[in-house]
Amino acid sequence: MYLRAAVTLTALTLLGSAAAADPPGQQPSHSPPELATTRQADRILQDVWRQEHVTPTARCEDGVFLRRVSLDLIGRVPTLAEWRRFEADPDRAGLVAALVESQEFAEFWSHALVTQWYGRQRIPGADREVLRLWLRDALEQRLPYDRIATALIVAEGGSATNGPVNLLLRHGEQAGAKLSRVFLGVRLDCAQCHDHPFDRWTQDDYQRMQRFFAGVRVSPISEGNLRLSNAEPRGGADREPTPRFLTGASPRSMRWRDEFALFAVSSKPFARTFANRVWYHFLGRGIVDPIDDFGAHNPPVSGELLELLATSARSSRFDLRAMCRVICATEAYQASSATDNPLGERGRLFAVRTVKPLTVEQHLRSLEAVAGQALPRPAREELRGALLGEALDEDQSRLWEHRESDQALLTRLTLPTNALQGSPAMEARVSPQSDQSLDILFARMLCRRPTDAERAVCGQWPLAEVAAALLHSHEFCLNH
Amino acid sequence: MSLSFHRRRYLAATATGALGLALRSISSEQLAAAPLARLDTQRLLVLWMNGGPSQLETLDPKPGSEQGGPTKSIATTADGVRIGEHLPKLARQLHHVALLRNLSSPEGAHERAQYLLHTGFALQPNFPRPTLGSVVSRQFPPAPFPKFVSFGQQRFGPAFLGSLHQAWAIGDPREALSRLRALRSRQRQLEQLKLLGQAFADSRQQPVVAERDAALSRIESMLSTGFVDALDVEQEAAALERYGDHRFGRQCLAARRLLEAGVRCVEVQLDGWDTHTNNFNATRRLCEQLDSPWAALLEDLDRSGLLAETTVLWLGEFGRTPRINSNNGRDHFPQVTPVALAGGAVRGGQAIGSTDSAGAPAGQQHSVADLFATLLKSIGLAADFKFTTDFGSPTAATDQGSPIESLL
Repeated sequence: MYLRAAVTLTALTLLGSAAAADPPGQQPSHSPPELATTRQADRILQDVWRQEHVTPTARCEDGVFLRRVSLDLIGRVPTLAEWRRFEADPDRAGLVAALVESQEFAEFWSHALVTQWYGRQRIPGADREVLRLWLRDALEQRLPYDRIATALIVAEGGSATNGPVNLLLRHGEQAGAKLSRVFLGVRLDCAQCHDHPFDRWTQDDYQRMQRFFAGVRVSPISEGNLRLSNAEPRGGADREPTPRFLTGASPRSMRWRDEFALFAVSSKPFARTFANRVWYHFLGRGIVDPIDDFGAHNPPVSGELLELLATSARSSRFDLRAMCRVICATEAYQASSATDNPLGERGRLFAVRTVKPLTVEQHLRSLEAVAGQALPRPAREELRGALLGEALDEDQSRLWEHRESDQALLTRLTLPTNALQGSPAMEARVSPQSDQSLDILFARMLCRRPTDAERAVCGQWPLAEVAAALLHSHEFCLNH
Repeated sequence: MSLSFHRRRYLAATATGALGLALRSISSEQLAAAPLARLDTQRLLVLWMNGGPSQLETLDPKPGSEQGGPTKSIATTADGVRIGEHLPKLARQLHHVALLRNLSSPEGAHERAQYLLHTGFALQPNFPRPTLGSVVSRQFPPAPFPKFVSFGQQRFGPAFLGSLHQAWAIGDPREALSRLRALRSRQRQLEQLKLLGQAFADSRQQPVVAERDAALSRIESMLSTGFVDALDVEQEAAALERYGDHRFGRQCLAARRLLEAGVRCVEVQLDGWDTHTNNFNATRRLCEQLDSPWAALLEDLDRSGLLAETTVLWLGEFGRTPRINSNNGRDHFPQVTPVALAGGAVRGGQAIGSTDSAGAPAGQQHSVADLFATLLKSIGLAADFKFTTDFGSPTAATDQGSPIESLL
């Protein structure tokens, strides 16, 4: 017993020190293990396609790839200069490597991940922006994903000053169940009121997982700020059950949250969920889809692929950038989205690229990239409001599934052209119409040259109208 | 659970996001089974008094009593029913109106109470419920314009009913009108848009693209209906004077025009009723804003014949205490939640239930679920009707309510 306690204490200390330290990683490049993983992933999927008698589409063109990967890695469409550079030297692997190292990577991914974990709603008492800024800094410092998860689980402090505490504050009484959904991919909250309808989790499982967070106390500080702190869990052993992790493990010390974090990040589902979420971000569908509902009722498209990526995640020590590099080099990611038959199974099997709507952040940043300048603040806020719609529910785990309402689309149709009206980038184009300026417009907005048909049609319209039409086109407003 | 939480939660159930899938939630069998044979009510107008309106200053005054305050009562066109002196125009229309004086609610906190009075269910984070307007919208066939319009913040969404039944939120009708008109004048631009996008849409037969196409078509068709011009309240200058040329008045007039244009449910919000301080002056000013448009609505709808098929519902999240506090105000009193209904299947000119001279509820009380059961019955939904949610389970339309027979 003494030995067990000592082992636990050591483990917890290591965990504590590991969570505290931020060792900067080495400068990564497309390393041989990553290439091997990518090739293996390609082989696995080719087998799947062969078995299912499905033909994958061809590889997408360079311009499409540039736009796609810019949106998925740094959250905006490429600038004209970037497009020209890539046209001259279409090195896809190099492009991906450069983008993951850029400043904008951390900024965009902080938005993407926080939206997945937290949703978009403003909850009084929890500060989403403080959380996001913390995450951005963590990503900039290359904090591995498992340490990020740990920090989020064991956080303590005030909501205005401590970033990670806000995720717990946001989920409140359901912290255990919601964090299981985020990091372990299981929907325990269905088991709150009754045993899970499809999966094997029972109400008892739900309550035992929640017990890990029994020691959490929330107290108001001021002005809507809350402080989250640890205290002795209420209730003696006879009244309330001891916590029990889904693997059956029980904590050995009284630091329940720390032990939950340890159980969670060392479990297999954690690595799988991480890999699956990143895959989902890029491909538009998870290998397990919905991404927070792993279970016998929801089998993966390919268990082998999932395990491969999970293993790769573990061996790269949960380096987000490494996972991005692996996935962006796969054939599945580079597949074209063009299909003249209805999509059917091919989207689910990743044989055709799934078209996704732009997220709010991507849309705003892309408009700014096109305009060549930041949008004026009131226009930006109004557009953001319109894109988000009025009120949003908590479950935003599906980043792309935010379907804009007709009202939001209508507001969008009326807004951006006003906002872009005065920008120098647009002004320069209003002057002499020539083939050149049309080319530049198409390049800037759609990363390609106009077709002959388009040239014929657009040649007759004033350039500003062409720009407005392109701005609202499917091609611009979707991530394809 | 032993987490000691103590915070207010804005829960806005909405259909975008995860619940966008709910479009396939309502099976066609459900729709066919709903008894559509004899629908008394074709539309619903909700006047939402945000903050908790004091019943003692509006529809249930107690002059002369200890708690009554300075509010006097006046006679109305309904026999034996007297209302507060600050609503004289309404008093002349009261033969259309049924007052519900004994509605009791268990929720005394604003968010929870607002949720309850919008959806008929207690707030439950894991299970969002559709707001009344969305239920009404769902009950009627599709239209080329929004069937549910809300003036004022729209925080309560369609939940599992799907985004087609989401409220169209309008703040100032004039601004919305100018925006819609601007877009309509750029019809050519929308056509150009379609032209340019054709090649792309053809080569990418995917759900997301198809949905966006459908949304653009819906917007285009909406612009060609009477919906846009319905917002133009300036067209009825005389009426605008009767309704009052202030925000609430304009919104009420726009609401009436929208209902005439075919919108099924319109909600208009009037803020400021949370009178913990200076209750009497505040409610007097609010009643001044409320009286003209409410009376004008009843008058106009009656004259045009629409009142027989339109329910006009007036309510707030709870009533206020008979006891006057130290700031000359009244505090929350959910035990008496004031509601008034008119038109449609409602039997007007009566007051149902009563409060005693001290303002406390007397006799049998009705629940919010009962009120909702009544409203749903009037649009053709039986009290035990079951919706099918997007995760497949059936769920009751009301929280075990039964219709209040004396209302209908």
